[in-house]
Amino acid sequence: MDRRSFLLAAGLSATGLVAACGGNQARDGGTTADGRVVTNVGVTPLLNAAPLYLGIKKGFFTSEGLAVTAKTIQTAATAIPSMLKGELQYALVSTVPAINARVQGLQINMVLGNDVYAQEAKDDGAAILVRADSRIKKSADLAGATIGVVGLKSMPELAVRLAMRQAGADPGSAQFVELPYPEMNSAVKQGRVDAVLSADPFLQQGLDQGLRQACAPYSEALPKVTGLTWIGAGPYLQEHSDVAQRFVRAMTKSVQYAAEHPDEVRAVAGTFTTIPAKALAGIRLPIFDPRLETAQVEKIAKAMVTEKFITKEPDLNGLVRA
Amino acid sequence: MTRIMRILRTLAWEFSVPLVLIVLWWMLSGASGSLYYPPLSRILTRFHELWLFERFTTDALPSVTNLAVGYLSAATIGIGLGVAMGLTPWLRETVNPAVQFLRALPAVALLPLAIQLLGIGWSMKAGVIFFGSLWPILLNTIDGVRSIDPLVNEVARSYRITRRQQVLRIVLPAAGPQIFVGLRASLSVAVILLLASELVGSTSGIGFFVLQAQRQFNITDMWAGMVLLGVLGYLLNLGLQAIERRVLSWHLASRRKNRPEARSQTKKESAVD
Amino acid sequence: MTVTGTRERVAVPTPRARSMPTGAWGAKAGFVVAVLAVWEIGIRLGDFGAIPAPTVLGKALVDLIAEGRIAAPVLDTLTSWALGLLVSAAIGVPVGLVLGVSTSIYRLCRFLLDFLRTIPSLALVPLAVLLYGSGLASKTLLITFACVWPIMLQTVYGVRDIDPVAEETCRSYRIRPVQRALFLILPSAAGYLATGLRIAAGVSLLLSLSAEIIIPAPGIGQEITMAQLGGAVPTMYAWIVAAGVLGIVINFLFARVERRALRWHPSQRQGGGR
Repeated sequence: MDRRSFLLAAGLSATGLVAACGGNQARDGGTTADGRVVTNVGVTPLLNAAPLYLGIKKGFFTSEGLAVTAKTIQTAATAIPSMLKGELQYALVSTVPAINARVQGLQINMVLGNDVYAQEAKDDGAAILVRADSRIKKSADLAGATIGVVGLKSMPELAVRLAMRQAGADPGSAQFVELPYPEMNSAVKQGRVDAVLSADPFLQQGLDQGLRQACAPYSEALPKVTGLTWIGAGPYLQEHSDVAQRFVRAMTKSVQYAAEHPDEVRAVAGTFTTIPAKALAGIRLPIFDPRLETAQVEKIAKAMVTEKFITKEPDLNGLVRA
Repeated sequence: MTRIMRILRTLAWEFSVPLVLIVLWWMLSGASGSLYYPPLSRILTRFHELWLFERFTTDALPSVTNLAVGYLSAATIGIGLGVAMGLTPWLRETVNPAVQFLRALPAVALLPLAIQLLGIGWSMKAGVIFFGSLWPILLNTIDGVRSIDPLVNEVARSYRITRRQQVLRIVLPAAGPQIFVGLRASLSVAVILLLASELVGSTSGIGFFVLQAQRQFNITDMWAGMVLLGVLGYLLNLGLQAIERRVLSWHLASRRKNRPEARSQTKKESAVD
Repeated sequence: MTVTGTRERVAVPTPRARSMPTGAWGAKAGFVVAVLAVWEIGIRLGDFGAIPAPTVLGKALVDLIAEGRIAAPVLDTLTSWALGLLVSAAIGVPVGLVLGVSTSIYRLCRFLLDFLRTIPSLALVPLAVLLYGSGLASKTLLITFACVWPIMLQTVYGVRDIDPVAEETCRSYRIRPVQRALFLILPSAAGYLATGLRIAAGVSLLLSLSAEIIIPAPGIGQEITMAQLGGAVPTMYAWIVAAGVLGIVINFLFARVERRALRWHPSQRQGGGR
């Protein structure tokens, strides 16, 4: 009895491990009844995802023979495994996690850009908020401050660090704390943190509540640099290069359409986000731009090394493949 | 000499399955090229580099302190409130809807509330751990206290034992085994919440480390962190078991004597509803 | 074992088994109203940041129900909740029986048990997604990984708490292991098992919601995430409250099952005979 259970336990765990070792290849999603290629695309329900929904609505994907469905994702940490599993064919993520994945040897590729950061503070949908009586008036003043960002070692933290460095302050003197957007305004008001990097619609809410905008790190440090990009799993893109090209064509068209039709972006945003209609009307839209250049991605990668997000610059050869 | 031999044999028995599994894991993962299932040898190397003892004081210690504060306060309040609720039906009936409601709220969803009330420091993390591990202790204590034979309490009353004496001498010992069931269940909940509480507002900690490693796709580090959590869980359980054995020695002894009267602990009453 | 005799005895309810008088409902309602009132006044007077007042929250909840948006996520959450609980019980009860009966097997597995059950399910999210995708299968896996332990532990405790006299009787009559399991062990452990299931039912719901938040997967958890991302804070709290209400309902049902399970529990016989 004892020996048998022993063997059973050993056998069970062995099968568990074997099962765990498999299942790492990318698959395609099959085709629909009318012959369109099923394509699942992971997006976070924020304004930035509007091009995908516009593209679906306008039939850009259908005319390329694709049946695109939007799936909700929240972080790249779960979106990329889902992509490697073959559940998602593409996802909209920020450059930092895409580079991180690449550093660790995950086979993902960037296929096109989605938006670029603003050139001027007035167009920037994200900004540092402080209390009205705070000593922090510009990026340089952030030295020594406790700063709330939505994710550590992510794009927001990188942007703040770069803006500080550019202004001559030492980013190492600041302490970064992770805070969800809805908690940021009250955390500043209560003095739990000195500053937060907020974004619309929370940014506007914060200003309405009497907080003051000190600076806009993205537009200061990364003007016109690609923000979010569309990524896909390498093996999938290789095996289905024709389908991939069709997706890139349709998506590019969608992003351009979004850039040219801000009112339609606002209208479609009401269907897939929970942003209240009133906030939606006054919100600053992302600057949509499908262009994607290796040089820009390299700039981010270099910054990630300087700010010690990663230890050495990754080989970005082939990361961008349009 | 024979005693040492016996202890050695027990240890060998207890660790034989883990040992076989570790060897199997080692062999099966040895040639693994998968990023998500790195070879065990690499995980253990990272474990050694990280936790012995480079990040021990910066990440492991603060987490364990939060765990201790949260868990111990949950145990104190859970047992205290549980005894009170177990002994007073009206209190139990009145507070019960609130207890059931609070118990059903996921800690992950409550993080915003916790930040709001307790800030982003250690007290928020200890608070989340406290909140989650309170319920198994509380509910099991109530069940344990309620399942005491009413006759025993009546006898106590007729002998004019003070309330304090009654709780210390009769109620707590009788409910002891069930309370320990709750304490054990809560312990693993507490370790789980150690991770959840470090999802936001953190700059250090084991949970923070695991999540951060995950986000950067540094899966080997993530495994090393999970191994630490597992070892921590085992050690904590071992400690709790030692305490249980000491505290409940009377119960175990009576069990061994095979007397039907010793069956104080089979549950008779329905649980809290 | 005189199973039929047990049933007859317990069919007569003991005074304590009867439900509380109707006055208790008034006390319950009063307590809930008092808590809500303190909350509302607290928000009106002090700064609680993003936490909405109960009236605002209530309106958001009513809106969700009125717009018919509440059913689908609740159903998604409940599906994974039930499936996870079922799988956990299917694994936890048999393994718990074996571990409860044999101390030596328990010792063999103790390290593994204590090691595995303290690894937070939530840390396994990326691995679960890689293996099973971001849907029901992953949720079920994560729930099972968390729920199997309370069920298993309670079963072990229940088996160990068997009446030694009944056990001796079984042994001296040479009752076969299968029958012993069915007629002695399972009924005796039923009380503990029912408590284990009730605890696991709660844990299952928590894990279901947490997994939906983190993966995100369809269900109440995903709605919480969506509301948070869009800044619809009252809606977010409305979903959290909906989750709490679901928890109350689930617990109420399981407490009923537990009471039923205990009716034919051998210990009732002793109590009834007194």
